Amino acid sequence: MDAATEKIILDRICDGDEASFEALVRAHSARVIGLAWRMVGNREDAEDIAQEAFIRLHRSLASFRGDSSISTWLYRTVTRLTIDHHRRQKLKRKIFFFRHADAEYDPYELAADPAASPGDQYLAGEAGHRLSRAVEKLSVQQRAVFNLRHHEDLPLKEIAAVLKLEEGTVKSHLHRAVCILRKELKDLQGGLT
Amino acid sequence: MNDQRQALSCQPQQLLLYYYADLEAEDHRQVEQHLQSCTVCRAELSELQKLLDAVPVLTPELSSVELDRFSARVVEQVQPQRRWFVRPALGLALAGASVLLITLNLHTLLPESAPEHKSPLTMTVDQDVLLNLDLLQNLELLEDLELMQQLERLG
Ligand SMILES: [Zn+2]
Repeated sequence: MDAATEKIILDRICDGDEASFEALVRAHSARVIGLAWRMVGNREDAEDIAQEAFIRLHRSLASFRGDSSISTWLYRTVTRLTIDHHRRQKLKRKIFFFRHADAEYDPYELAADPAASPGDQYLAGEAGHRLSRAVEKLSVQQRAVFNLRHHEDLPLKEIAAVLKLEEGTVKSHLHRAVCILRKELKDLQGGLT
Repeated sequence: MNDQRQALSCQPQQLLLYYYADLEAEDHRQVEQHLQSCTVCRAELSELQKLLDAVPVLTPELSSVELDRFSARVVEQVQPQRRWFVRPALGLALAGASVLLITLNLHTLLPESAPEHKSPLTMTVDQDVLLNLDLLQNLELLEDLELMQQLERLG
């Protein structure tokens, strides 16, 4: 969707045209859900996050000045919502460990969302499992930067704009992320596809 | 002169952007030039290629029916008159989740949950949790506050 089309659609939505809003959601939904999915690791939470992002978009349409494109705005909002989501998950795990301080648990088992069925995973098989675990080792910022660069094919400059970070910071997040993945997937290279 | 010095230094972070073809033309040219003379960086680049080529670029597959359904659901959410009949938005769901979490904690603390199986340590910790339920709720609020501050710093 180019900037001119986006502007026309925005004007229509502001005039109360819900069909235009639906078209806008439809046009962006696959990428927005995809980004959230890779960030949180399961489909249900990803759809909830995507939905919340679109609701927020609708709420801020009136103040949308069009100085950042809708997709940039959506990427930014989804990233923030997933950071929020991860912090909550972390707190839940903390409480769980607190309660079971005398027992030994596999932190990965706890990190995995019990609601996620195999069909929920976007990458199947042993290799996919290894990749998911490796990605778990990344900080939420590193994960966001890696996903936006590797999977969304966003240039560094745009990632910096989406996350409102300095380009240098984005660069080092990306570098750190790749170093971690490299270490974690050392014996798997060539066998992931 | 400056050009030459830059061409001679190893810059591993540039190699990553070189791999993604995400360098300005001039930087790209410099890395290319550097690679011709530096075996260390050539080896490093080939390692990066091996790793990153093996991480498949994936977009989770959603059928067009699923995407239609999703879009319709979002539109329903933003129409005020129908809002109460559909699944609550994420914020509400998350608030619910934290209540559920606390409830679950409480539930496992009930006498019929076989306390004799628990070590004294766990019992102590559990009582602590019970006494500090409010604190835990506040903790979550604090985390949110911290997040907001962090986001403000980012933004
Ligand atoms: Zn070098």
